Amino acid sequence: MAFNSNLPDVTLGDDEPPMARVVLVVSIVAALALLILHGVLFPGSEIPALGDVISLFGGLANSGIWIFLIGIIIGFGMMVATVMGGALED
Amino acid sequence: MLIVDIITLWVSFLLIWALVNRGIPIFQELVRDMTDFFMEKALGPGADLFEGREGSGTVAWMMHGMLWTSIGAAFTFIGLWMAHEPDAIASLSSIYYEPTAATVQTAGSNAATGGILMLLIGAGLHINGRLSGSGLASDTNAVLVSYAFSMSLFLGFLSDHLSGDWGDNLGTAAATISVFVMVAILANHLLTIGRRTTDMIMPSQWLIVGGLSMPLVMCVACYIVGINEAFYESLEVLPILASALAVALYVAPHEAGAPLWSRTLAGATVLMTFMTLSPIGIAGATSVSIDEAAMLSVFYAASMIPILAAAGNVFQTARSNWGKASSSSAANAVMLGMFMLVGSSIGQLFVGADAHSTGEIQHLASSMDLLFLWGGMGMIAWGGVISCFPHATGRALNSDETNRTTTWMVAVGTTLAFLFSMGSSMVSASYDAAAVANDGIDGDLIDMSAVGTMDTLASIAFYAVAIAAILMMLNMIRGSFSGVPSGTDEPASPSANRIALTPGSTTIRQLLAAGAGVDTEIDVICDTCDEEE
Repeated sequence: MAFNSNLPDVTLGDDEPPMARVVLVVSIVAALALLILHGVLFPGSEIPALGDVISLFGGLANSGIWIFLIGIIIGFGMMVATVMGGALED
Repeated sequence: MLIVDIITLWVSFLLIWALVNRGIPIFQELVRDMTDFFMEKALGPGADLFEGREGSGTVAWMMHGMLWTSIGAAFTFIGLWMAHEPDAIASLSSIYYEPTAATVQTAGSNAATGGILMLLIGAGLHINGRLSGSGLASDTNAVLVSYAFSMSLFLGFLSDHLSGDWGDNLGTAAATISVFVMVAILANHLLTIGRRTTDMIMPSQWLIVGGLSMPLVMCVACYIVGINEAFYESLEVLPILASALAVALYVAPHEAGAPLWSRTLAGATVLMTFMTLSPIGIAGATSVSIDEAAMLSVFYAASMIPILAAAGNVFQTARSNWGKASSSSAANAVMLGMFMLVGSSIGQLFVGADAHSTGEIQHLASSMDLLFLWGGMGMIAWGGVISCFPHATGRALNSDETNRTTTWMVAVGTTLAFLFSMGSSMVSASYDAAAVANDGIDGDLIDMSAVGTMDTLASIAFYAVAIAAILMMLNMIRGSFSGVPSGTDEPASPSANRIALTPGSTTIRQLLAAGAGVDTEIDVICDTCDEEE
């Protein structure tokens, strides 16, 4: 059967990926890049903990877990802020 | 005797089935009115604290549940990390918080179990109200007891951190409050079913009622006939497992816009869930004879039937309208959850049976528990939240994108955490076995860095789950405050290819809300029409 469509084979759409997903992917790629860079520049040494990077937390954050806990603490803070904001707005 | 216990279980289920179907002769109205009275008016000022708007019970249970799920996920992450670095949060000793790794793991697991159970109970309240056609009997009572259950989780959380009499007393108080809450929720469900406007009680409703009532009835039976403690261990998982199956059997057809695929499989799910014994979470705390262990193993194996039946039913239901089901993040979450539930149940079967036998593979138990709780129950609860929460609040969740992203974060995070932690425990057990077999090996010379690396990777993978729970909580809060009100958003596109209906009346608005378009094929399914003609 002959195929006589005048439509082009390929067209370009207008949809874009959400910015949150772009930021997430770029963040993951950046984290992996920094991890590899650390391995190249400082072979065999431990990944620096929060206290090693920010001297203010030198006495408190002496473990790598604090880098992750900061994210969780910010998340719970956002929960409280969102509830407060929503309640006051209403 | 174990056989007497099994028969007691079957008789209890038949009793519940008969009472729910037939009611209590001559006392029916009295019991109903008294329950109604105790649910709201007898609570006095307590009931006046809450508005009791339709759907508020579901919202309260889900909000509390997601908060506890977030707390549980955070502590589970810390517990996984402390498995390879016990001094990770030692700096908190300056504020007098210096728990051991085991304490953090127990507290995290209990908080997460309670939180996920609250999500499933919240979804169950919505499901029973909708399927009964009359709405929930008392939203006021549901809201009130959600705070009580949350308080019991808080007391349990404190109890996990305390030792001695204070820990025991708080644990007892937490357990007592949670039992009272379960009785109140069960009464609410029974009253809702008693007021139903539909003829048939659906499989999800049976699973909800059975899951909450069977452990309570068996506790009462224990005082009469005495029940083996090995038997109790299997009943502990029943409320969360039955609730999850109920949510799965509701969300899949609801999101796919198609009837539940098989009535027989749904019936098998209901019947076998309550007539078998689950191996999930069995620690083998009670010693049993070899004959009893053999009998338990048979019933453990039989408990795979309802899970496989439910999984088959959910997947076939989604397949019958795959276009709509696959584009729904709630249906995706439930399907992922059922897939992981099947995997974890098969693993739990071997671990549970081994607990009453040689105990050779008990090092896998914690990994299996992680997969069951977060992969199976967590994912199905996620689907329940995404599907039921917007209907309960009357507002859409803030972001569909967050629904999808968090679903995959939980699924991938849990799977990777399970694989890494299982690998770590297997390698560790192999080292231990080699050291025992060769007395000449100096244990200090064995390089255990691989175990530490896999533990680190497991905790980092699980971090995705902790962040997903927080993001979902934010999504729910924003949705309930400022989500798009239901019925005001633009019609979804593309429309469903085919929608199946049962005989009766409906409106064009309802058809459009269900995803129908101008080209949608409407298929009316009637089992009894031919007989009537």
